[in-house]
Amino acid sequence: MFYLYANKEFPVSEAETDRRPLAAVPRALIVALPPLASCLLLVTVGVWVRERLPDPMATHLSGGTPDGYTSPVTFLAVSTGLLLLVAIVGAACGYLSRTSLRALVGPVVVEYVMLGYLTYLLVALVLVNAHAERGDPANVRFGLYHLLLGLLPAAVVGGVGWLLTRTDAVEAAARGAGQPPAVRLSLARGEAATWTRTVGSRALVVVGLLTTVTGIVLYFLPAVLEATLFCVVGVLLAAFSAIRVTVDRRGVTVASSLVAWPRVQVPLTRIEEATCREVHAIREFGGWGYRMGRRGSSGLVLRSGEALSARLNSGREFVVTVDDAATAAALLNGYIARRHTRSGD
Amino acid sequence: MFRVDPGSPVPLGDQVAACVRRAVAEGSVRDGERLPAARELAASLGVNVHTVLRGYGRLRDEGLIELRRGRGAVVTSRATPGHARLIEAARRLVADARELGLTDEEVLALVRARLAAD
Repeated sequence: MFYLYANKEFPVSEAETDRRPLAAVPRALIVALPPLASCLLLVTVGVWVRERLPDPMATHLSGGTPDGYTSPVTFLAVSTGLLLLVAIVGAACGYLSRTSLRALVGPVVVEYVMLGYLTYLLVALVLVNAHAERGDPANVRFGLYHLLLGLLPAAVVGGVGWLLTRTDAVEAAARGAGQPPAVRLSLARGEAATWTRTVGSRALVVVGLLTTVTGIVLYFLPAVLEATLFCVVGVLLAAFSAIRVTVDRRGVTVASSLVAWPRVQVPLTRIEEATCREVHAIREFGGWGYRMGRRGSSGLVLRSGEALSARLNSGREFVVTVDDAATAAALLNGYIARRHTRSGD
Repeated sequence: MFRVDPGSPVPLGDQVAACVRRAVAEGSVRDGERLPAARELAASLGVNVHTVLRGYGRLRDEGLIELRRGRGAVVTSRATPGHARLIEAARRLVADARELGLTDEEVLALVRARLAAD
């Protein structure tokens, strides 16, 4: 799975670092909460307006007018069934997760936002059917403004999800056992140095191409919305299959070697120390791409093997898999040392 | 790896070119590899973009890189460690000759004489 996530570091107060990690059950509950609440809300609304729901009700629309109908019972049963399935999978993931939800804030907030949006649309669909003119489902008009309006509850729900992740512990990034001590390049006063290298991932190119091709095929189905989504994601994946990692006086920058944006930047001021270490894509991060891994590690993992590892002020670890990471780490440490001597540390 | 020292008497553009030549000589950049875009490298090092362009232009004249619209600076197949050392030797030859006060024609005559002798 590929996460496009702005690498924002939240300041951590003293009190927060003492917070103990949540137990498995509370974690499971936090992850399962959105689909469960969604289920409950949908069923409640459905039961509340059941007298006024036409049978069959409009469940598929194109351009705001209905072109597909299902019986209300089927619609509610299928929707709640799917939501319960998501809840079970989510609960299992939350229960088994050995990483603090605070480190997984990205995926959790995305889950909350998406389910908030989806719930709004489902509830709106039911209510619009209940208020159909003369009880005729063909008169149902689902204004496209709902697609925009739904973003509001989605954002609020996302905020709730974010707050819930804050109840979990802050994890310090664990240093790999037997790591060599950090090496430092000595930089003269006024000297500027830049280390830059490209990394490629053939896996991501293939996945990106397949996704884009699927998108094009979907376009002919026709499924325009899905097709666009697939094409956009496919292009993004392909764009990030070849990245350029740069270490300079500003810190670490990772950008696609094909397009200037999006890019990930870790400022020098946020880095405590840099090292080079071995990284295992599946075991530590569960895959490739911009990943959240175990014990507060996150970063761009394009392959297993040699990686630049930066320990941040917040205690978390940022990694980028790239060759010659040792030189990159040495340069970063050199800049950090110079920054310290300059500020009189 | 690009290292430049603004305090050094060597012009910054030449320093940039020297970094690439060193990398080629060490074998850490190879044929077909793309160098960072001049604008990006300039921002990264904190120097003027024209400085970097001058360095890249010099490398292009030496045949070590190609500057293509859209693709940027690409290392050519001529960029072997041996070739890089040869360019370095030529640089030293010219520097020494200038120091001795030789004119360009005299330097060329010296090289031609060498070519004719072997």
